[in-house]
This record gives sequence, structure tokens and C-alpha cells, in this order.
Amino acid sequence: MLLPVRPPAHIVPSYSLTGDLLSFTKCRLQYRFYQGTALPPARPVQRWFGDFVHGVLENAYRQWQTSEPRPPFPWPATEPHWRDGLPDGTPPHDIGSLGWPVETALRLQGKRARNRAIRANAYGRVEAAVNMLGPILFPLISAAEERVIGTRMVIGDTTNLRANRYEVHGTIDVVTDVELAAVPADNLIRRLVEEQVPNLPEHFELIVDYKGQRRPRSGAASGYLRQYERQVQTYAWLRRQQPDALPVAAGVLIYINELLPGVQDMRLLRRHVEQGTEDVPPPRNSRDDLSIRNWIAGNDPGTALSDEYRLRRAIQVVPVTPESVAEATDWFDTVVRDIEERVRAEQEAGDVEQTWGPNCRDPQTCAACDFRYFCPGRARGDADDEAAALEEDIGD
Amino acid sequence: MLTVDRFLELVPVVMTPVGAPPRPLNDEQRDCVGLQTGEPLMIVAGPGSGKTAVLVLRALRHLLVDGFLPEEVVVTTFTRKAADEIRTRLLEWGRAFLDLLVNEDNPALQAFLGQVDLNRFVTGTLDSLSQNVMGERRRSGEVPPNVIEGFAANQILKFRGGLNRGVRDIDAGRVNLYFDTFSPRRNRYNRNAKDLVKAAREVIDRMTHDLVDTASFGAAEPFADVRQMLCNVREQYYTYLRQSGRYDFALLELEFLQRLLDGEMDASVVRWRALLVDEYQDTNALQEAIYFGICQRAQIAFTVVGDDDQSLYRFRGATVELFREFVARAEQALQVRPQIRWLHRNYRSTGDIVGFYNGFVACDAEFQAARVAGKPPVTAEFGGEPFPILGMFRPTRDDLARDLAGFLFDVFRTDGGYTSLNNADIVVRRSDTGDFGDSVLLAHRASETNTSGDPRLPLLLRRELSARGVEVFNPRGESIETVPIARELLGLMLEALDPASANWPNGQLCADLQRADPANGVYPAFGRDVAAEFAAWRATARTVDQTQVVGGRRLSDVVRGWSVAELMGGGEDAGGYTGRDRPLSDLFFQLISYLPTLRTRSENQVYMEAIARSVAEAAAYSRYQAQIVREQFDESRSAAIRDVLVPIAQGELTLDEDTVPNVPRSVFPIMTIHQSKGLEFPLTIVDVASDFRTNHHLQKMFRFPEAASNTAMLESQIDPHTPIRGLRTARSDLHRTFEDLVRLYYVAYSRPQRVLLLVGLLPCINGRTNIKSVPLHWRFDSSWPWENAGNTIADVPFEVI
Repeated sequence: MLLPVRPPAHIVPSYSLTGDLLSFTKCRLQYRFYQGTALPPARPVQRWFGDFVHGVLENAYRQWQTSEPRPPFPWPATEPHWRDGLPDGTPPHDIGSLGWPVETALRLQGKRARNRAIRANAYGRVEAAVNMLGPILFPLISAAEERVIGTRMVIGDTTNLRANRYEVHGTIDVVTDVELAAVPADNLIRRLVEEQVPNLPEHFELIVDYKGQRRPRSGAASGYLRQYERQVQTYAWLRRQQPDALPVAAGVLIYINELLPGVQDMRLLRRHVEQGTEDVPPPRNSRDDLSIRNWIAGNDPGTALSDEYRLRRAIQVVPVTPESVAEATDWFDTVVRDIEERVRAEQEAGDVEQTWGPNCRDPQTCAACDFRYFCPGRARGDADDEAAALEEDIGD
Repeated sequence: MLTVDRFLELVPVVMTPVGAPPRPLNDEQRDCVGLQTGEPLMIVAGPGSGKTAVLVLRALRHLLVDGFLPEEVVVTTFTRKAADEIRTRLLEWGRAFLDLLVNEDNPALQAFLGQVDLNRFVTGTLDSLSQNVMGERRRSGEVPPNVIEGFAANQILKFRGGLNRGVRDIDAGRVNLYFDTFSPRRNRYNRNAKDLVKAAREVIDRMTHDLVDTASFGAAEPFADVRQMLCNVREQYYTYLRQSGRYDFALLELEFLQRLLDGEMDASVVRWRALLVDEYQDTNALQEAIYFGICQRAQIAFTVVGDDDQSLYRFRGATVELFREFVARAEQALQVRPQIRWLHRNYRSTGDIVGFYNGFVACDAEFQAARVAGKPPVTAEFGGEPFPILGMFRPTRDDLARDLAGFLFDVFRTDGGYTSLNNADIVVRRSDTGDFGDSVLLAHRASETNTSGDPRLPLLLRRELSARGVEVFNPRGESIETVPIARELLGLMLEALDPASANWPNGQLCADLQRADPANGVYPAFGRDVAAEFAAWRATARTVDQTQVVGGRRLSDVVRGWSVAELMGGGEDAGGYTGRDRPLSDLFFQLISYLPTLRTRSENQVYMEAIARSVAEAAAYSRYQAQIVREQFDESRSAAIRDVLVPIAQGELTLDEDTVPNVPRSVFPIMTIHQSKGLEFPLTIVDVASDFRTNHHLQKMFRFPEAASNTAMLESQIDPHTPIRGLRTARSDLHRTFEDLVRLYYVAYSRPQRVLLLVGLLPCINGRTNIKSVPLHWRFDSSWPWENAGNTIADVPFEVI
């Protein structure tokens, strides 16, 4: 009897845009161990701030949406006691009431703030986010935490691969439904979008993604900015697959740290403004410009800058065009092809570390990686300001 | 929309890969796909009969004939793997349909297709469905549900649910006596911690799966005090989980049912128009209530698919009787009588293999009463060459392992393949690109040693194959805490947290954890069994080269760094942090740097993941959240030992083999029969009797039960308190136990595509043997059709090699 060959499982693989594809592009070996062998990261604290921000902003929107009448901004903020929580009678729209259930759930998943100062800072930042973004963003929202999913072809010859298609999915933090006529002309989001996207249609969507970090500079070695842009472009493609979608005019990345900058943020900002390398510089000789140039450690970074300038730094508009979407999705196609080939190669060769050799060139990522102890490709950098501010930078 | 006929006309084109001849559906499959949706449909599908294809096509029929959008069609199945397979086919065949229909001259259809997004089919396990819908429809201020699995859930049950305290308060001896009512001990000693939590978990999960009236169960005698304690622990445990937004699988489904019945899930559920359930034979009472509840809240086309003969999970609460009696139960719940259809044409296996398992399942008249009434035998449609069932029986396990390894090596590593010495016509050979991954050894248990520590066939075979340069994948072969490479890691962790010294050869913290002072409420964290295990770990760790240097650091320095408070804290190795506490996981990751084979070998990755997960999950229940805190140095290290390493030493770790996505094809797999459900292999070797040299009474439960299983006894004890009372107990405990063993081997025998090889010890097939064995076709009445079988069994050629 001639035995037939048992074919590999025929499975259309399902990739998370952030959890899989962006992770793989950061480092192949880290992706293989975290996503393939499912090793849980030692310091989920790295994810704490990002998860906290997303959870609180979602709660805030739900509270705003379901309250009748809607409580006016600014909403009060009570920082919960670390063990006892909030005093009785704290209103449901208090930032503490929105944050405490998120914080509790995260703690029980092993995710917690590294120390009291970081926790207080996080509450401060979500307070700023709710009270600065809420008035201009919440009225535009049509869906929060919108799960999107689509299928694409695996490029190239797929004879020896698991399937010729793959699924890609993600969760869009916020989808807005914008009718220009219904949005006040002084709405900053509207103004920023109009500045970046000429010939806006009358009725369109924006895809909003919160980032629990500072705004990365363009051209930074890590290339995060480019990845985030591709992420929202691909969200736009995924959103377009949904039958109820409107045209997507732009993606809006919101860097939460910029709403309440910390000491490290101010130090870096001053350096970049002085060097002329800042992407969003304040107008020359404006109050913000002077505040930055004259900023010294010991000043309160939270009050140094104007609301308008902080919002402008926090909000990055990424115009969405058919070409930009195609560029991003094509790029992710090549990433998937790479992963699928390695899946196949591992099945043939059985060697994990050879097949998924590390390729990370970002010292920050390597410094926080659990596999840094044995990784032959560990990138090392100077322990400069950015590396020291690791916690503030890592988010989703 | 399409007519049913037009849809069925397109099916062969859609299902066929480009360039291959069309594969039409058979009449029964067409009927199942085409049947109107007015009444629930029950499809009883034999092995290899294309049930997944039919389920997927029926889902696509709902789309293209009935006009349901993908997001209105829900398909659930039993495992994530099966769910992935269903989703793959829905996407691929669905896409093929849409491509074919793009030019169909049907404006209404085109308008409808413009709204179709195939990715919105709702597929998954019932657990994932419950989790997603509860997340979508969560209450104000609630976080999305988070699912916890075995190890962490059991620790929470012990520490937060109050199980440990409850057992102490009543008296461990009495609690043991209660557990004896459905799970008798083999010796006079009380259960160890692992077995105690296992028994409690069984009762608590059963209460949920069977929708038990806890007030009635808790008040029932005998042992009402113990039962009530378990009810209280369950309540406390569930309260703790709910408050933190976490759920074990049983609670997740229970919560979903309650919210479903309260109408909280309506915004999601009422938009559903079709519900298709795969593997329905392994449904429990809670899941049935969910399915019927969905049907009652939504106008829905309901299809269930399953095979009672392949029900394997009674021990997890599955109730095959719910499938057997589906027609009557659905009619009562939904007020409409379901239709029943059969799929019995097998496309997987040779005619001889089909004949063999048909004969196996039909040979005992007693068993027929346990099956769905009116079931036709499976018929073989694969037209390949006839080939006998093979048997390899040897006087000893060593002989068997040697010859089986030789057989496998001949098949997969020699050009001509294997040729039987007894019959030159018996040749088995691989294809050009064939490899060990085309075969499997299936066994009731995959453990590599027996309770006396003697090697079983899997271990002997591993040694024989290893001597021939062939690796084996059998992560369930040993308890993880006893695997040498795992012991190296665990021993190094223990040494790092609590180093042995001249004064404290077993560590100072461990000595303190073992201290007992009940008068002052101090109870030992572990007993002699764990102490012995710890000693073995430490001894194994000492064999690791402590001088090796990785990343510039010597192993001995790393280990020492965790036991001296002053060495704690920031620095580059702490990832840039300057805090004074470090997660225990960090120790894990440091140590695996020095154990490269732990990271690279397939089996070892399973162990590595299990240990890493147990360390990470301790954050959910351990006092210091599995952190070593400089200010509470001794306390936090003790907590890490007590909450993480002690449960591992007690054998509480569970494995997830899915963590190795790609076992290399050059590796020979050994699996339990349970693991093989839903799989098929060109060559399947089934261990039917490698453990049975004599008619030993302790082995009877694995081959010919003469006493009820623990599960059956617990079912009967629970029976008066569940809404499905009387359903299971219509057959005796012993009958159910016996019948489950028949089903187990029916699954094993229906896995092979071309060659089925039975292996065992010679005394079991001796014509006058008294070693009765269900897998060798012994009947409930102790008769044996093989007694004078010669070279045919159940009219199928049988060849001993």
C-alpha cells in the first residue's frame, strides 16, 4: 500500500493587524515566541498605559452617549485610592469612575502601573484626553471599538503554503461620521482634516486611533510613524469592505501623551525645537515657543503649553487615498507572504531560531524584549533620553 | 436569490480546486444542503462522510438561497481548530460562489450580493461566541470578559474560592470520603492537593454544565455538609471571577445563558437567522439550553450535526444522550419537530477499514440501544486497492517497541518500504515526499510510564526511534514537572528564589513554608510529595553547567542575583526600569537563555509555554502578583514558591499543544485518541493492548470495565438535581462506562485513510485468553467474536505482521 502524503492543515490564517503584522515587522523572533509559542510577556506593564487609555476613553464615550442630559465638559476627576477605590457618591462621569473598573480589570490580568507617579500621570492624561478631546470628538463618533475584518490573497505562488488567502482583522478605536454641514467650523478636528485633505466630500468617515505614547518624529530610526500610517490606511481598506461604510477621508492618530506632556516629553521637545527638527513646531516667538525654549526641569510640564498647541501636537491627520491604501495593503501582503514562508520553512526544518532570525534594529524594543538575554541580534543603543523614557513610549 | 437547484448545480464547481474534475455531492449530502429551513434539522454524520462540507454548504445556502447576510449566520463547533477549518471553507467556497455569480442575470441577487461581506460569518466555539457577544453587549462600566484557563482557575478556586479553607473546616478525611462516593481512592491515604482540587473542580463544573439546582444538591444526604461547602466555594469563586471580569469556560457559558434569557443579548441575538452547530454529540445541558434559548429568542433556522458514536467528552460534561434524543427534546423546547437525515458514505478510508469499524460498532447487541435509532452502517466510497487490517502482537513491550520502530523506519526511511516476512504481498511504503508525519500512534493514554514507573509503549518506542535518529512528539508522555529539561528550569528557578545551603539543604523559605502550627492557624503550604519533587528539581538543576555564559552573564550569577535583595532592582537587564521589584517571569526568561533545547525542540516548546503561562497567570491570584519585591523580599519569594512552584510540583499544569503551530513532518507523533478527533492519517497505529499481559483487575477500566467510571457515578449522584434528570440514567452506570470505551476506539479505528495497524501484547489475542478487551471486540456479555476468527475479523481480512 502506497501511503499518500498527509497535507498540511488547509487553513486561511487570521492575522491581527497590530498583534501580528506590526509585531512581526518589529522583530521576527519576538513575534514567533510571543504569538507562535504564546509566551506571555514578563512585563505587561508595557501594555498597561495603552490598555488603560483605550478602556477609559471607550467608557467615557459610552457614558457620554447614554447620559441624559449629557454632563457638560470638563468632567470632574478624582484619582481613586489604589486599594479602596472611590468614595461613595462619585458621579459616574468622573474620570475616576471611568478609570477604576479598567484599572481593576487590568490589575487582575497582571497589568499595572509601574509606580504611583506613573499611575497619577495616567489618570492625568486620560482626564486631559476626555476633557480636551471629548467636546470635539465625541459628537462625531458613529461607532467605538469597531471590529473590522477582511480577506486578501497571499501574493506569489502558494502551492506549498497553508492557503492562498489570509484574513486580516483589527479594532478601530473610533469611526466618525462627519457631515461637514453639521460640524462647527471651529471644531479643531474638522480644521485639521480640512488642512490636510483637499476636496473633502460633504459626508465622510474618519478613522481614529488612540496611541498611548508621545508623537513619534518623522524619520525616526524605528519607523513607527510609517507603520502607524500604514495601519490606519489598512483600517480604511478594511472599513471599505463593510457594507455600511462611508468614504474614508482620513485617519486620525491621537498621541495621548501630548495632551499632558511629561518631563521627558518637554526635554525632547525643547531639544528638537532648538535643533529645528520638530515636526510640529510652535509658531516662532509664540508663547508656546518661548515656553519650550525656556523650559527647565522643575517647571510644571502640564501647564507649559497652550491647549491648542497640545491638541495640534496630539492629532495627526493621515489623508486616505486609493494610492495610499494600496501602498499600505500591498506592504502588509508582503509581510504576510514572509510569515507564511517561514511557517512552512519551520515545518520542514523544525528550527525556530534559524527560521525566525531576529531582525530588530530598535534598541528600545530590544531593551524591553524578554528574549534579549539570548537574542543574537539584539540591537544596542546609548541609554539616551528616549530609552530612559521607555515606559512612556510603549503603547498600542 | 438563487433557487436550491441552481445553488446545488454550482456546488461541485465551487468545491473543486482549479483544474480538478468536479466533485458532485451525493444524494444524502444534496438533501441535507437543500432541505427547507422551516424545521430544525438533525444530521447524523458518520466518520469521513463530509459533514463539515455539508455544514459549510448549508451555511452558504442560507446566504445565497435564503438571503441571510453572513452576519446573520452563526456556526459553532467544538474546538478552535475545527472552527478555523469551517471558516476557511466558508471564505474560500463563499468567494468562489460570489465570483461565479458576478455575471448572473438576477438584479435582486446582485443587489443583495452588494451587501455581502463573507468575513462577517459568525464562526467559533460556543465559548468564543459567548465571549464576543458578552463583550459587545457588556453592561455600563463593565470590561470585556477575560477567559482564564485551567491552572490559574484552579489556583483561584483554592485560594479565592476558599476551597482550601472549606476542606480544612470540615476535615479533609470527611471531604475525601465524600469524593470517594464517585471517585474511589486506591489506597487509604487522603488525596493530595492536586487530586483534591481535581475532584472539587469536577463537581463544581458539573453543577454548572448540568444546570444543577444547588439548593437541592447542597441539602442532599449523605455528606450534605461537604456538598454545601462545595456549593459555597463555587458561589464565592464565581463571585470573585465576575467581579474581576474573568470567567472560566463553564462560568462564561452560564453567564451568557443568564444574560441571554434576561434579554441582555437580544441586540445581537435577534438579528441572527441561522444557527448551525457542529459536533453536537458533545453538547452538555448548559449548552443545549443556550442553543434552545437562542432559537426561542430569534426566528432562526437551526441545524445540528454530530455522530453519537464519536462522542468522547462525557468526562467534561458532554451528554451524548442530548444528541440521541435531540428530536424529542427540540420538539418539546421549540414546539416544532426536527427533521433527521443521515450521512453515511465514507470518503476517507479503504473499504476494509470501514468494514472493520462497522463490524466493531455493530458486534455488540447491547450497544445498539445506546445509539441513535435507525442509524445505517457506514459505506465505503473510496475505491482504492483492498488492503487488510494489520496486527502486530508480541510477547513483550520491548519486542513490540523494537519491531514497531523497525516497521516505521522501513516505511519512511527505506526505498522499498516495509514488506511482511509472513506475506510478501503486504507492502507499506511512503510517497516520494512522505515522512513520519503521515502516520500516528494512537493510545487511550499517551503517558510514557505506568503508575509503577515502568516504561509503557510510547517511551519504549521513543527510545527505539531515537536510536534510529527519529524524534517523537508526545508532550503528554510525561507529567511536565518530571520531564528532565523542565526540571532543569524549575530547579534553577527554585534555587534562584530559595538557594540550598549547608544549613538549609532544601532552602530556608521552603522549610518555613512546610512549617505547621494549626493551633495558630498556620498550615503547611506543601507536604512530603512536593518536598521530594523539589529535591529532584534541585538535583537536576545541579547538572546544568553553572559556568556557562550567555549575554555576558554567568548562569550562577543570574541565579544568585534573585536571592540577594541588594542585587535586585534596575540596570540594563531590567529593561531600563529602575523599580525595586521584578516579575518572576523575568527569571523565567533569563533562565531559558541557558537552556537552548527548551526553546527549539517541538515538545519542549509546549513545556516552556505551560510554565511561562503559569508564572504569568499567578498575577491573577498570588499576593505579590508573581513579583519579587525588594521591600518584602522573603515574603514575595515565598509567595512565588507557594503559588507557582508548589502547584506545578503537585502536577497541576495543563498543556496546550496548539502552542507548537508546526510540528516538523520528520517527527513521529504519538497522541491520545481524544486528541485525534477530527484528524485523519494515511497510516494509523492503534495501541489496543500493549499494557495487558495479564487479566489484572486495575487495568479493567481501560479495556473491559466491570465497574462504573467516576464520571458515570457522579452523573448519577447529580441526576436528581438537574433538569435532564433520568436522561442519562436510563442506562446503567456500567453500561454508560462500557459504551464510552466503545466510542473511544470507534474514533481511533475511523482515523486511518489507507492502513490500520493494531498493536499489543500476544496474550491478548491468544484464542483462550481471559484478558477481555473492548478494543479487541469483546462484548458486554463477555463473549468474543475473534475467538475463532482466523484471518478475517468482521468479514474483513486481518493480517498479523
